Amino acid sequence: MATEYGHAWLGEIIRIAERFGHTVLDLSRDAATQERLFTALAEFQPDIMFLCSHGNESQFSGQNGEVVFTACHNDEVMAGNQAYYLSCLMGEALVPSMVSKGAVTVAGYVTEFVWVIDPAYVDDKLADPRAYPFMRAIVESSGRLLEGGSWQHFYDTWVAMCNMGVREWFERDDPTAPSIVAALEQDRDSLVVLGETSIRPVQEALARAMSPLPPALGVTLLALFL
Amino acid sequence: MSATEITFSEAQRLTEDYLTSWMNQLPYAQRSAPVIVFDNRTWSIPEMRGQVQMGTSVGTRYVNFYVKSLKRYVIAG
Repeated sequence: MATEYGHAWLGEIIRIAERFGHTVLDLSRDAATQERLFTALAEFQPDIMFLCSHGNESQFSGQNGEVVFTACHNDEVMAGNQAYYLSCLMGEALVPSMVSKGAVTVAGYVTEFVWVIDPAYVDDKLADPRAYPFMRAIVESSGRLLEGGSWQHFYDTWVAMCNMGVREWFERDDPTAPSIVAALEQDRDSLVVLGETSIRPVQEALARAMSPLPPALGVTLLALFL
Repeated sequence: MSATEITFSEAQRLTEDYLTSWMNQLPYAQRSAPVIVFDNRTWSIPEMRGQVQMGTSVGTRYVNFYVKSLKRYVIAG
């Protein structure tokens, strides 16, 4: 169920990307394989990638637990690319390894990515009020990149949105509020953005146009999730 | 204010107490339902409390997560 939430959240990022006129290659579910991802990287050459799946310190996995990236084994494939990994722990070793192999910018988390859900909303995850502050932080910060912001803007937005969630839940009379605040604070402090942080993955001039652009003008984006 | 050093057993007990208190405040229908997303999967509170009590890898990391969030304690060792 955890990755189902990630799937729903990346769906929102795709919706925003398409609104800005970006071309999206969606590698979800059965398409979330190493072969499909590596082929897409070679042929599609995305400007930015948003990836959500299971991770640990040194590995990122795709569908059915297939290991897609392993630090110091095949992460040189990321050379020249920019990516945001919504996965646990990768910031500890795999993200630094990708950057040392030539990835331009990679964002990931150095601890478990923690959040809280309301079981009443399993069929409508985007409406889950407990998960909302986490979704908002992810979607808003990703949106900054898609509208032409830099990775520094992405990071600043991430921190600001997490802090907003903390403020909103801090005084709330809800038995789950302390867990939400704790998780938001951990996730806020866990994000690392390594590599070029001043770079803008998407050209601002293109992204400024809010209405859909002709496909030839759009930039590319790749999403991988379970 | 400096943090108080506590043993892992004390940290474990604080976490168990917190999880129990949280569970007892939830509506009955939610007490055994998944509400925590941690370590790439969902957990109900009793499941996570079991992990904490058994001192599994996930339970240990959850204890560290919870105690750190209190900003009052550091776990010795």
